[in-house]
Amino acid sequence: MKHFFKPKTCALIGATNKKASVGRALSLNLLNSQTRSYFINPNHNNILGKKCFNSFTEIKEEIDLVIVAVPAKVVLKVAKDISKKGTKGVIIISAGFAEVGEIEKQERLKNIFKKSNINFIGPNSLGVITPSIFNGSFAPFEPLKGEVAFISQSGALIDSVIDQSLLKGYGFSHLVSYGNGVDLGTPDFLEYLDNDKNTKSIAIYLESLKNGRRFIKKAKKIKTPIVVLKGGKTKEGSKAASSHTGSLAGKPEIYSAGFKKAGVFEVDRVDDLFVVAEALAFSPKFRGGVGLVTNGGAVAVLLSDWFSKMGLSFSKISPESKRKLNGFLNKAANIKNPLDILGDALTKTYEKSCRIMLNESDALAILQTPQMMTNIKENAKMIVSLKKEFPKKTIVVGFIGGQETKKGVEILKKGKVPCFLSPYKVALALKALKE
Amino acid sequence: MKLLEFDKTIELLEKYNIPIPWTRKIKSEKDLKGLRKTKQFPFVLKAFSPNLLHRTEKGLVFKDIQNENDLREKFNIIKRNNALKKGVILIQEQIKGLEFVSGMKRDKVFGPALLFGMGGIFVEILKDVSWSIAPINLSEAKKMINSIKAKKILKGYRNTEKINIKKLAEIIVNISNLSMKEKTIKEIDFNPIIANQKESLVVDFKLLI
Repeated sequence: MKHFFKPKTCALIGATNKKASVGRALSLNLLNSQTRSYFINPNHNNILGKKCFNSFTEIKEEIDLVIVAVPAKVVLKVAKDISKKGTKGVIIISAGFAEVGEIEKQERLKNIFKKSNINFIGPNSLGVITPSIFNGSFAPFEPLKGEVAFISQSGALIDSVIDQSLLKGYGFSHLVSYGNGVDLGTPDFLEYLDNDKNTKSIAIYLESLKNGRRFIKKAKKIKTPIVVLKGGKTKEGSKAASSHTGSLAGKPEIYSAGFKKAGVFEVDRVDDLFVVAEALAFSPKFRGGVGLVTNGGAVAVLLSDWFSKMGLSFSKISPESKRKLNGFLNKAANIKNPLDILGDALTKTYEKSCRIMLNESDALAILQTPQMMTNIKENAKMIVSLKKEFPKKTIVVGFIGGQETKKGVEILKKGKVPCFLSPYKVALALKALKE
Repeated sequence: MKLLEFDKTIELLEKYNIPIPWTRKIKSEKDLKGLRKTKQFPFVLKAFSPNLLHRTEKGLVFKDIQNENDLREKFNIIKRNNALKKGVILIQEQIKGLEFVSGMKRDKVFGPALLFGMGGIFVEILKDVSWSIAPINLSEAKKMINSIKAKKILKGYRNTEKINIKKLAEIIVNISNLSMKEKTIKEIDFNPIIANQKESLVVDFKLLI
């Protein structure tokens, strides 16, 4: 599987100079990769200053990965060429197969590679990206390096997700779009990603699975936590899905039952997919109730509402901790969990309170509203060091705000503390982290 | 899909320890006389035929039969019904309790998928059901039962009695076992299962092939 994510050598069939084309985007992305790449196009001698070969069989060197981005009508011929010389893996970028009703063409493609024993991703794939190492995709933006692996049936969604991740500042260990998933699909990547030391959680977008029992088996076998978003859960959605990736979506309740059986956390929005992926990547799981420290009442009330909807609970505070809190908190503060340390709380007050609450439970939620006396950056730094001191505790932060709060969020992200901008997301992250 | 015939259905239910109420085939009025000595009124009379999936609408099920005259009369109504065709007529002891449903659908993606829910109008209108993928064990079956919205009713609510959850869960586990081994069975529909404090019995059972 490594040859798909970190190939030493890679050939692109269908490389081109043509402006605004898939072939050019792929060529540029490959030139920016840490791989020895070969361009193939019989109509060109030179592409982007690099020698261009007439056919794949002309290349002498052994090729780890071949990327195919030629029109659908020549894909079968190209596939035979690849089989002749041989390679470790193939990505078929080209569209025009089952998703447009060309089921027979897709079957023929499958049989050619089956005969030569070559695994392939696609067709109708965006490609594969290992940020800062390998980009075998025609994605328009380069994602940041991070700890979340993203497996997606859809390539277009990957483009949107990358764009969003750049805005929000999170990164990926790997991204793979498997398109029609004729040969390799979701279950096939799990084991590799589990063994990859940079991958701390796996996010999946899928519309269908070929073999649900195989998915359950593979997902149960790995240790890396998984979060999944299944598209096509309604009649209308599943109709759209069948014309999109050429597969019929099954009964939604049965998919959800399958995910539960596999021990996979299911969400129903793209945003939530990465909220949970971030939480799972950066935080250990916990049992029992959650301690909450806040400097604002309303956000704690809202979080409590989500807790009750999601089946989460708050931990109790022991009399001894109450005494300690009474010793330094404002007399107006009501000593209970959720603990409101009031709007004028300084970083020191936050820290003392958090330490006491960490004694009471395995999970701590810290909420901050940006008030007059609030030191956003200092609070963020304090939480990062707290997280380092208590690596086994679950700490989830809600910096409820936007522009000014962002400065703190960036510090927390760098410090690998799960941090979100809304009470809902804090609750969702904690739900996913609860055993 | 077709309904598996009565004798083979009973054979499989026994093999997988799936409990049903006292049930006998009735061929003629004569059979009625001998049988009702062993059990007491009220009884249920119903048809069972591989061609019949829906009986109530066709007038092939009579519940709450309280005396011998009624029993004879209802037996003859079913016997004369053209929809009966090659089917058999069953007499069954009437069970008191709450109605649940459970069953299995062989899904093309996940294989045997198991369903549990509240019976009667609750399954049709409120769709208060939970799903799992076979095989499952007793604790997974209990989780399925406890994840329906109406779970409060299991513990007894107002004048209803508490339900024996273990007995109910055992039925789901046995459906799971049957589904894993008997690949020719495409679908299982137990509706209703009647449960009370003491027992859970599958009153209507359909195995589809």
